[in-house]
Amino acid sequence: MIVLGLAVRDIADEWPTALCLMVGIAAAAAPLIMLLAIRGGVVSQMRGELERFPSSRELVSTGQPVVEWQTVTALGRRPDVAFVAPRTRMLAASAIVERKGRRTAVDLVPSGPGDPLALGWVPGSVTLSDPAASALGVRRGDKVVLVVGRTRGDGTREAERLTLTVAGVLPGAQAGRQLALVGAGLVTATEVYREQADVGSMVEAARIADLSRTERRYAGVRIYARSVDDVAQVRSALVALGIETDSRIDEIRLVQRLDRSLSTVIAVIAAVAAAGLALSLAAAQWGWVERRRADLGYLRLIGLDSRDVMLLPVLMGTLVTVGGLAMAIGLGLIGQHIVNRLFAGLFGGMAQVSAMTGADIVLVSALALAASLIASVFGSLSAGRIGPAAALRGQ
Amino acid sequence: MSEEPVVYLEDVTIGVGAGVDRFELSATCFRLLPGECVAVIGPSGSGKSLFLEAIGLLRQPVSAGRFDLALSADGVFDAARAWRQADTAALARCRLQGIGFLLQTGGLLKSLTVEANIRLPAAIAGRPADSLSLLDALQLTAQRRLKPAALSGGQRQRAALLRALSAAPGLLLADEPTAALDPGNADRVMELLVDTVRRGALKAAIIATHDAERARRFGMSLVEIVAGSTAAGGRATVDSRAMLCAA
Repeated sequence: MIVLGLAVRDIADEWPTALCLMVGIAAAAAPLIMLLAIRGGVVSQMRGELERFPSSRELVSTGQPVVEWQTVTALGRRPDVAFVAPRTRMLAASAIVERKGRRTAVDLVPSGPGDPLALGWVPGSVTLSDPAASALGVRRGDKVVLVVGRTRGDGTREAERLTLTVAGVLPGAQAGRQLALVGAGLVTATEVYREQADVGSMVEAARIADLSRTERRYAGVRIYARSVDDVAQVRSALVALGIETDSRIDEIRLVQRLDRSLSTVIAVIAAVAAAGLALSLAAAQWGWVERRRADLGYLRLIGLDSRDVMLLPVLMGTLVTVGGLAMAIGLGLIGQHIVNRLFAGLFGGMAQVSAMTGADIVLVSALALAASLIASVFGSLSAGRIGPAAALRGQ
Repeated sequence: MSEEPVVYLEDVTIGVGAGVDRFELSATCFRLLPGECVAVIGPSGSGKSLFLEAIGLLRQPVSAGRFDLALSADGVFDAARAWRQADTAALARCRLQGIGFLLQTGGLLKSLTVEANIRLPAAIAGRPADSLSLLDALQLTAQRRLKPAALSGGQRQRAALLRALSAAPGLLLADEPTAALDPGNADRVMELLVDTVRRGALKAAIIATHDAERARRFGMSLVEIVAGSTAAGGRATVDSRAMLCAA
């Protein structure tokens, strides 16, 4: 393409000017890329830390709220809720798990399909916390026996035994206590079995628990928001229902605020940088068109149409901007290296304070190219008004 | 070669400006025959460039009785009708295919080498740059890879001539091609122009110059722009029947 060739030759011919413009563009774009990289590094790692553990999305009811079944199902239908299960009173929710002569006491945690802690849960399965699993020496797929005991009014003790399959083991970091995640219905059945002496077996207790589940009142909920960003909303919804919760909302808010503040700073700098880039390019191109009127007229004279001549400032602006962006990316990578060395070990051993991504580069490039295109409009329109006769008159 | 005029103007009036600054040039009769190299002479501001602009189809005449151009084998182009019908595409096509321009200071693009400058018009027209074969004859072979800034004034103007011939035009329009040159180089360029027409590389050439003596010395026909005046502003006439012929 002849016009592109002319644009490249012209930049090469006036390379000191082009270089100055490129350095100017790089000076505006490099800090922007670095800030984006630092926001990406700090925020995404803090967020990643939160997202890695489902417990960040967990809301645990505190106090002794009385929760109706309808409330539980209504919560379960909310789009920002990933999982909800009714809680029984804590005392009722303990049991023994046995395997091959080894036994350990566990707290029963109501679980079910969609529980982020018990992925792969099916009826008749149990997910054990790491301490519980290692006390029993079991792995995924092993069979264990759940022993639910009760003491009758006359002091005699009796127990029911259920065989469950281990669906998974929670990593130690997620639960330090001895926990067994079983179906919410089974936890309720345990409560029924212990409270109602006339219920003969766990099978009967389960039937009663199932039949009466809609009339029962629960002692709280175990609830997971769909994402970290949904926690605040779910929390408000629970407060409106009179359920106070514990969650990692403060940590989440810190990350969100940091993200928003850095984004605002970046947006302000981006706007100033884009305006500066556009103005300096526009001025440079306007001057170029004025200086080269006779040449542009000559190009019209020998057959370039006005669209081609209008394209020249646009192509030159784009080429210079691409050059400036290449410099900016180079500077950004150097800056990233320095930042990561300077801050190594700070912020709780964060792997990288600055983490440049392709998206950062695409964003800055799109902004710079858009600014350069806008800047080219003036030079382009001015060039488009030059007719072939300017070659004869322009000297 | 037919004796059909390459350029045939009758009662063509070209105007520029408005009010007291209005200037009009009338070509009552101007005929340029194949093989002719005509110098349009007159002092600065007499309308020489205006005349070239009109013949180069860069400026619309105020009125045109006859404005025929026979630049290629395609026949006669009726520019008077094309202007009347505002057929800018046909005008541009005729200009691009038939007319080469040689400017006062060469007007070479400074970012391109001599060779790239010469190739450019041909490349835009989509044909080979035949005039590159003349580099040797014009003693520019050593300079072909240099940029215009590294050339002397004479070399630059010779390169500009090759560029003007690059797309193989039928008619060359040269606007004061020797004005910026020393006498030796000026002679050289004039000689080349006349020689190019004589060898048939061009059908004809029109050179606007204020240097009547040099044009005459190289055997060109002279057409003088005769200044007149009207109440409103300047007026001039060009008439090749009043041609001052030399040799």
